[in-house]
Amino acid sequence: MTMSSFLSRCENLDILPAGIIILESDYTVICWNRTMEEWTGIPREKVLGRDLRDLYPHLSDRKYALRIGQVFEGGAAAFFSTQFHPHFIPAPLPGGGLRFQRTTVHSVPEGNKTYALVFIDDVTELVQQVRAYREMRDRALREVRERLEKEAALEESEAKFREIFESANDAIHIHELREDGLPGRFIEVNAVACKMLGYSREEFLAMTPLDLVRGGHSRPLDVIGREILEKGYAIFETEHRRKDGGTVPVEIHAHRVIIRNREVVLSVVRDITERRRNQAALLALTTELQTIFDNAPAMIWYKDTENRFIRVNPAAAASIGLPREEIEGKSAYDLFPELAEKYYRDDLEVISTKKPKLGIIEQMQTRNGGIRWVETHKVPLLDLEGNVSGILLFVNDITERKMAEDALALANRKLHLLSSITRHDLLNQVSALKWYIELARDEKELTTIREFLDKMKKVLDTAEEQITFTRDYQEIGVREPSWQNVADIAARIREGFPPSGVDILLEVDDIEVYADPLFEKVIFNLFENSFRYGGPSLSRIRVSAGEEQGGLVIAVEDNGVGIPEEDKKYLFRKGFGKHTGLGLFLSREILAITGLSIRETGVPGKGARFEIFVPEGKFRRLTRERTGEKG
Amino acid sequence: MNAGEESIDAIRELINIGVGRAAGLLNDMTGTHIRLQVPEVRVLRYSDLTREQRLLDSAHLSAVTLRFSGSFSGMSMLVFPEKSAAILIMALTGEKIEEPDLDALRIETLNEVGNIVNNAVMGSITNVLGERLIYSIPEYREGGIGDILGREGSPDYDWVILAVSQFIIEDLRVVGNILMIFEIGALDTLLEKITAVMGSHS
Repeated sequence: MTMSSFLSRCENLDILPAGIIILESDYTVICWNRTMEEWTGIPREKVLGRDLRDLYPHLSDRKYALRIGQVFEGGAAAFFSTQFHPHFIPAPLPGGGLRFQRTTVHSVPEGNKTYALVFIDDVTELVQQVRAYREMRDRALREVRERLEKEAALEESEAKFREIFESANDAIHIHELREDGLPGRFIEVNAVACKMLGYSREEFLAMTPLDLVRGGHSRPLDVIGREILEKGYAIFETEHRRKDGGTVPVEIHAHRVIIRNREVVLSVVRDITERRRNQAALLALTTELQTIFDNAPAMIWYKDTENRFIRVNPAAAASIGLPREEIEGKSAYDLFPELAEKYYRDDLEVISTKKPKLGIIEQMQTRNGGIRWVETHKVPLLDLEGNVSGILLFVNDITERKMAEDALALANRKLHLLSSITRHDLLNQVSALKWYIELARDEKELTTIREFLDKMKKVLDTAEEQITFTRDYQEIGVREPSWQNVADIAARIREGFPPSGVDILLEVDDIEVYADPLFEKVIFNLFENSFRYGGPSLSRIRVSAGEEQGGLVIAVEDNGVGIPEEDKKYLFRKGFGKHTGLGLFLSREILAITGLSIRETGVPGKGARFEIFVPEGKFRRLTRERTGEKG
Repeated sequence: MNAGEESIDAIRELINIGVGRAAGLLNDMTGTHIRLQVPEVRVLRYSDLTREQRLLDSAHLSAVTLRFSGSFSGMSMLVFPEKSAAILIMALTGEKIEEPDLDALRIETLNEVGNIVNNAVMGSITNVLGERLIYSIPEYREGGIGDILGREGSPDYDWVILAVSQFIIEDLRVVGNILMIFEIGALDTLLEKITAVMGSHS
């Protein structure tokens, strides 16, 4: 068929669903079928006879021109793919966008001319399908790759798990989980589990964890099961039976886990034999320490580094008269407001040096305001890093020891004083005696000599008195002071006097005073003075006691003649008095040993009244009461 | 067949000219810098083609064919291993895809590449010789070497010119093979014509 005959039937090309264009070698359009009209909206009348490149300038580009040129030269058909030339002749789609095209340009020789037949397929649907296919395939590939990656990760995870499983120091059990939370059969165990109990892996897999249990669990089994179901884990202790019959105490951390899409329990089983042994030893040690703590006569205080009491023992609590609960947690500033700062300075020294500070002699205040002397040893408590976490105080009440020491020191001092006075007095008497001897030696008059002898005897009597005095006085401070019951002493003395018609009234509660053992002689001396110097009007001696500012006053008074005003200022001097008893001088000295003092406050003509003042801390009240009696 | 070394050199030259034109067209078309080289040209028996294991031993070959007839008849064919073809298409189009495979659109694209190379090579030969040939519509085939030759597996074919071509796109180097398969006597005719042209120019 020639081109002219072909063209004569060109209308037949209208029935083709493809776009058909026929070009002369100068791109003049000689055929533009109906499909092209429909696609481009350009009727053939407006295209035929025109240079196609005027309508579609891109066709002048080399990539088209060269290849179409080859076709006009009789070359093979040129194929223009959708990928590189999606819109050979741009043709809009009804819904927007352009049709995708696949174009072939064929050479059609006709006589000495060669025409180009442009055949355009609409591959829009194909493109959409391929794109959908690609998207679907890429998604599928991604999913496959993700799955592969997950599988690889899972494999890696399982490999790691296996490594941990086999290299763990503890036994690991994996077993089934029943619906009630109780364990089912073993699924897997590690080598440590086999070694711990002596069973082979196969023997394990034929058992359940309950087959291993000897005795009970640290908590009821159903509670453990419920915890595993509800919380996902449970920690408990039990004892496992070894294959050789022995037992192993174990601590079990059981966790509900998913392995290979299956809910199971993974238990880490730790042999706690050593721990139990240590716990028992620790318990024994703790008990021992608690016993010591509770029963030690010394006060034990645990303090933190901020002057706060953490724990105290009963002795410590008793010492300040508060229950332990009211001490623990309190600051020293609350309990000992006046002394806390001093205490804290010592604490800080211990904290900074990390060394004990021993033998601190200090005061401690009791709840009722009393002051006690204590000896404190402070020891730093170090934590595992070597830092001071607190301070341990051992405190001994040395009040009585301190008082005794003080009293002894005073007694020694007084004895020394007395010794020197007495020596001086005796030397005076010796000098006087020597003087009278010298006078007598030169005297010829017998009467005068007798007078000298009388005087010499008087000197010797005085010396004898002074020597006797030293015998009594030497008893002062020889023995340690002690707590003495005033009422008992007074009653005992009253019993020692024969009936005389004088009422002796004892109006003293059960009070003890801390005094030299000669305290009883002081009271006796006061009674005796009343009998001796009270005169005919004496009918009553009364002993009473009452607290005053800063201490206690014990009064011994009578209704005798009293003490003349002019004698009062000499009452307590050595040698004063009408009798050679201990005398008020010695009484005052005895009382002073422990810090007590005495004075006379009676009214001349109405009776004598001696008041013994006992300072705070040197007296104490007992619980029982004593009523007054008449002698 | 009596192919002298000079004639083979002339064929190699013509193929190189055609391949050079094809590279230029692909550059224009894709905007990508493409070089096409032909390091090896050999003449072998058609019956020996299936034994070319180094170049054609794959169960998945993609081929774009162009049959020609006239004073010498035969078939020009650009052949790639399937994966190489897909990689080449991706390099030319700049597509980023999960897996290089050949779907309908990519086959079309490969068809165009083969069409450009086949046309350029055949155009180069026919231009020099002043011959006009009749060409079929380009056709895409895939499978093993037997599959892509199968439909043409008649004993009418005699000799084959095998030109190993390399598409070099940036760091990528994709090897394809140009096969010019000649019917009986066709290669002789071609060589005679080449010799004649060479003689007229000497």
